[in-house]
Amino acid sequence: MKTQPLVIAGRTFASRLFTGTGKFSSSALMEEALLASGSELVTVALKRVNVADADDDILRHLGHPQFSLLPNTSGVRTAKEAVFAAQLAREALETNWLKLEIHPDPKYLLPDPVETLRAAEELVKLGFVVLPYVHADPVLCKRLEEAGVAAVMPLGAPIGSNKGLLTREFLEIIIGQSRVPVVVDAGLGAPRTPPPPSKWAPTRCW
Amino acid sequence: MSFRPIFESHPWDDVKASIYAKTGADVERALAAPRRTLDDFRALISPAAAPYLEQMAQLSQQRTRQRFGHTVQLYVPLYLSNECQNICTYCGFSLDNKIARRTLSSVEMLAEAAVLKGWGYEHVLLVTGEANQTVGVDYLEKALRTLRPHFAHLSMEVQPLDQEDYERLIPEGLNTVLVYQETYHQDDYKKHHPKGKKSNFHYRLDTPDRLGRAGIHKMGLGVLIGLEDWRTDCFYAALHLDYLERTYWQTKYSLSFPRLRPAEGMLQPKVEMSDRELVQLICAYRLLSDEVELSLSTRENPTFRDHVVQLGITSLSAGSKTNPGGYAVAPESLEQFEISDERSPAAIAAMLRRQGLEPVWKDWDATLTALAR
Repeated sequence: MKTQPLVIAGRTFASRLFTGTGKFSSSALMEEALLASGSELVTVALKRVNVADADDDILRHLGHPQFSLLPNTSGVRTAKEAVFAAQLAREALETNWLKLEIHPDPKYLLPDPVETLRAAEELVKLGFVVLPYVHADPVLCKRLEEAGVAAVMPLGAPIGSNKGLLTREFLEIIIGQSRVPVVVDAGLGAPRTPPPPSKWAPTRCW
Repeated sequence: MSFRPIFESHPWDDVKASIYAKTGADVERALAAPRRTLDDFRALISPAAAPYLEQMAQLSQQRTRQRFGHTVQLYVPLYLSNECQNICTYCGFSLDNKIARRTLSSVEMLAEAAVLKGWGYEHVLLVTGEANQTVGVDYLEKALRTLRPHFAHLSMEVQPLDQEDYERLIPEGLNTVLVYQETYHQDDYKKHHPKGKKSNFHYRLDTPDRLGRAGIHKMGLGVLIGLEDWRTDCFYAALHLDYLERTYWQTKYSLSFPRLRPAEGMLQPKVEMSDRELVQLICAYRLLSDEVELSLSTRENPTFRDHVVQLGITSLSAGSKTNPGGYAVAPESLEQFEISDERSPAAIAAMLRRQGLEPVWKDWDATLTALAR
């Protein structure tokens, strides 16, 4: 996924692939896969790591200079919880970048648009570089952009569903009118999923 | 609003007959369905599904890996007390059982906790008998306050409480409550719970509603397999889950399927469930719901656990002691039931790794619970 550099909040990424850390069969395999992927931005759930432990198994395997950590707030259900978790993450992982995830629905992990917008507004004021996980909702993405988020992360399909770009029509609208990078976040599935159309490529995350 | 009207609209004998009437064609239809219904679930737990076990297992494994990845959560029970005012025909802590009773003090809890921390645990299940005078809500609040600084995630399996009690305990660090109906067969429930607060079938049946209204983060449901026809009982657990997911949509759910184990003074199981049937049940639950957590305790033997962990299970206990003080304070005291898998947590973690599964010790942060209210 190395094409034109992606720039988010003034930072250039050679790779447009963001990676997660939650489902690997071992931390060693995770490390190997992430290194092979060329990904430079790696999401880490605050709830999965023990930040007080210098030898935390996940964090220990992510200590490569090419990896920047993107803490996520997975597990929070409200804007208030998200802001608190973000502050903890900033303190513990020494980064003000944040993947904002608020899903009060623990079954499908679908994002709460109301709480996400509220939290984003607050977090931007607090100096965070906010990348919110949202529905493929073009209006919401514009509202978040106006709130000052660094990118938007609309879902392609429900998390973990491996169904590809089910929200394609809406993603195209979002990309067409966005002034911030658009990172398609969830449900894409295996690499066999057909790539997005080339017209998406030049200026957005795609 | 409660589960009761739905429960009462499903008479036991009708449910049982409908399960046993399912055919191979019903099972094939259920297996082919993109989203399965409770009626599909009836087919998948029916005797007619037995020849389809391999197909069910493959699907279940695939769905589990897709949703949960190659991970298994590890947790451990911490028994705080064996005081109990109930008579339960199957339980070693039953009031009529003449055993030494013990309730851990805060100092003793910390001694137990130190052992569990040493093993690497962050997710701990606090267990007590049902004795309001000694292990009521005041005691539970004290326990949560004592243990919360030491663990990322605290669950409870204690007597059912009122909604306001749960509302009091959640801000103290209570994340999850397990409350098993034991059996949804009302007459048999009465026979197995003749005395004590637990004899109130409906108070127990309403407990998940009280938990949901209190805003609990996660609750665990299940039946004690061996008291009644397991297929019918487990259908009711699925029916209960379906209602709860629709009603308390912000709560997470887990299911357990404990088979009766020998305990001091207990009756023999009325119904035996074979290993193949338990696998069938686990797979049927997974095929009903991609998202529900499925938990397996040390009641099951090592061989069974090693095999089934690939087929839908998402959390395992390991190194468990079922007696208060069993880890450090009083290792020789009487257990609630005998465990079958006595391997250490490290041995279980190694077994998981050998199978290409990552043992997860921490999947929550206590600070998130602190903000839950």
